[in-house]
Amino acid sequence: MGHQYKAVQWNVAKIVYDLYCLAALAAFIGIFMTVGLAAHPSGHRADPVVLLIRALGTAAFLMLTIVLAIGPLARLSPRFNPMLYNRRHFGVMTFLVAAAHFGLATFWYHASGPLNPFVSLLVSNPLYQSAEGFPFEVFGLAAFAILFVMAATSHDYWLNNLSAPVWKALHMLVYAAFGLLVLHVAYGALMTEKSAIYPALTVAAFAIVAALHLWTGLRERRRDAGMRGVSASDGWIDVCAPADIPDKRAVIAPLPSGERVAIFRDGAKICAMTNACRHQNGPLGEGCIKDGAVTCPWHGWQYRPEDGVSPPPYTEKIATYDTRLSAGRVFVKVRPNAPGQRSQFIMMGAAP
Amino acid sequence: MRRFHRRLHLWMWIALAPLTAVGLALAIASVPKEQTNDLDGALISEAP
Repeated sequence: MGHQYKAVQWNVAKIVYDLYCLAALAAFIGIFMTVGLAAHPSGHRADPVVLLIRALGTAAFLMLTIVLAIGPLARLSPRFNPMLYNRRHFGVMTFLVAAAHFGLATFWYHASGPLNPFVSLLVSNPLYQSAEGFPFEVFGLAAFAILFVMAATSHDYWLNNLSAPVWKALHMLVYAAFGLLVLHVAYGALMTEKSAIYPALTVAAFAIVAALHLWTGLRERRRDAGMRGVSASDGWIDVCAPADIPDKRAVIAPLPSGERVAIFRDGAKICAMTNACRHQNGPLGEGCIKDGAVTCPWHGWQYRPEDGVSPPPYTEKIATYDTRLSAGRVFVKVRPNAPGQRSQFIMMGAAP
Repeated sequence: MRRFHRRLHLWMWIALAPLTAVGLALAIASVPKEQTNDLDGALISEAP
């Protein structure tokens, strides 16, 4: 949680995770190079630099595929939440691998001529009308530029200064980067590849990521559509029966505004707060109550259920909602309280 | 996520998925076939 800025938020778990990722990356590149050199037709010596460029590019593409699959998978099952917790480090690592691919390819193919390598990258192939010889480098360059912005603004410093909604919207550009990268691979590597493995892998990666995002996106839209029947004429909405809320967990309800509210039960106490975490607008209602505090499933940010204030030494605040019990049903007031304001909450078994 | 992000996410994928799929299909359909040529460059055989 962000009560002070640190250069990079590392802890033991993240260091171990990063080391595993680096080891897997090194193993991938090693295997790719070994197989590439061994599989080359006899009598033709494979160029190790070209193989390394391909290994780095393939690794970056696979890593971005994994990064983009984590979000929707976590929406479908909480078992993937630990991957979400470490996603930012993996994303920055993806950028660094892509940067190595970009740098090596640019200087290997474009540094020997009279032109500046970056100018040569843009002007050396003018076949924009040809599918077969299309300058696929422009797709890769555009994707790399987006990944650079993502990596440069990945720190919580930017998250705090841009605000979570702006930061989140900005980082959705990574989907465009993925589309551009698919085209970069399709019009580049696939044009000279004889094996069917590359096209199959590219199509599978794209299909899996697109299907996961469209599936979860449409599911969220269906949930939003379900809220239209809710009546809020008196400023309160009927959410559920108290027994519908599992202990230490929440029921998520849509508000007429389109936003969502999370109604938590902690023993006999029922409190409501916004479903959007202050950090990255993660779904608080999919988290649980730990040590008396609502804990976001994404990165573990915590808030007290009654007033939405983070436990000391943290100072973050989120909006709460008043709740009341009427005829055995939990009602939530549509209008939120100011962030950090103590809400009117339900104590089960207390006198009305 | 907030409603704005949920909508942005869905609409980005509704736009991106078909565009990328068409681009990918066009690329795969345009992959040059493997050819064998004689010394004068005349086509001897082409992979199916």
